Amino acid sequence: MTTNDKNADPLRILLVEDSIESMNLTKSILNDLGITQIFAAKNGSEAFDLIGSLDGEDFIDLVLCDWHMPVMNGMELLRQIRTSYPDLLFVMITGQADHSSVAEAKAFGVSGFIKKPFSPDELGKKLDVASRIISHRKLEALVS
Amino acid sequence: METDASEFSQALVNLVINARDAMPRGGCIKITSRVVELDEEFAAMHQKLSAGRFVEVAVKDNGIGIDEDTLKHIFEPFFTTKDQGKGTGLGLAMVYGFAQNSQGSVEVESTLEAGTTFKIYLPAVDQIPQTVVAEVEKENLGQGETILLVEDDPPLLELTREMLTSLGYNVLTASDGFEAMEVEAAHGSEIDLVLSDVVMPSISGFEVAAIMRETRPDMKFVFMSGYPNRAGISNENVPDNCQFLQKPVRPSHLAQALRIELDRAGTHAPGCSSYGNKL
Repeated sequence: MTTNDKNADPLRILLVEDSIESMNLTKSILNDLGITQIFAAKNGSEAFDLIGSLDGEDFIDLVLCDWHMPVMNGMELLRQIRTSYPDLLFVMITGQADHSSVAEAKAFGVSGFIKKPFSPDELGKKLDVASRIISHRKLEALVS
Repeated sequence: METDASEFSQALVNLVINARDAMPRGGCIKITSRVVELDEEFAAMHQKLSAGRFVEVAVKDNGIGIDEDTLKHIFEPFFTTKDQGKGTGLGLAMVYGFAQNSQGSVEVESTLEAGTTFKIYLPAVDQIPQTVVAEVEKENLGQGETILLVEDDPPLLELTREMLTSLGYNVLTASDGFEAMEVEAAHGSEIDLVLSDVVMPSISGFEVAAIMRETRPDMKFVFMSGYPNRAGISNENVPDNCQFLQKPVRPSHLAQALRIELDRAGTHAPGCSSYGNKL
């Protein structure tokens, strides 16, 4: 577990990436960070179908998604996810994103961005934040 | 830019009216603005203009266009191509006069049957006008405290950052709730107060407050909201012990809210206070 909160449940992450090399590299970093529950999809369409097949305790905590992919890109996946899963955390992996694309992703409700290439430390910090948000939301759900 | 707001509005209205009248069969008017760097060569061609950074405000139409002869006289007082009683011939002259008096300029480009673009150039200013600080009481100025500013609207983020700097604060910025928590994780103990927008994508300002207070219960918050009343905000999540400001935020209200919150002792009375227009 990457988070400072050692009592938090391990994150369940859906990794969406069309490049096999990038997919394997990110999986390896996630494993090193203590994340073992990793789902994988090679484009937005496959990811959306996969999310739809999960429910209850199987459901994911975070989508970590590449921006540019064939079939369905990250932006379109984000748009579709927000209509069905408004609270699901979504971190977009960006290359050289211009201001208007970033603004568009924000308008669709992206949670955060991580710029390629990223280090294990950079990804770990993103996951720490995600973990804090998820722990808080789970606690809020229990209280209410 | 720093200019007379009412004269600027009037100049813009005049250009839009002209654009409308140039499109008798309807069309599209596009108004844009951007910061441009004007070089010596451009400046030399224009009276009263010095090279440097300018704000370019352009009004573009896709109307009938203006012929070359008319273009030569377009800014002359009482020159009009409109039918008698439909135009005074003073509209564009006023725009010209306004631009000149503002140490700026106005340009026109036109192609017959394709459209016309008027561009006003006004000097860009790098700092918040001194009137921002002048209207703030001295005891409400910052004392070098560090504010984490969270705002998802980039121009507003920049404007508010400049305002906070002018008021005497150190400023850290984040463009959404997620980034705010990253900044807090990196600079936690340096941050004296979080000044945050309320409605942001994915993670609201209220949620940011609730999460940060799990590890720092004494973290101080001032919220800014564009909603005219709290009905637009999820009431159940309104954090205790915070200040609210109605956007657009007046510097004096911002300074006062920040000072009150920063000077308050660690424990607070429950509930939130509003400054400026009531939420």
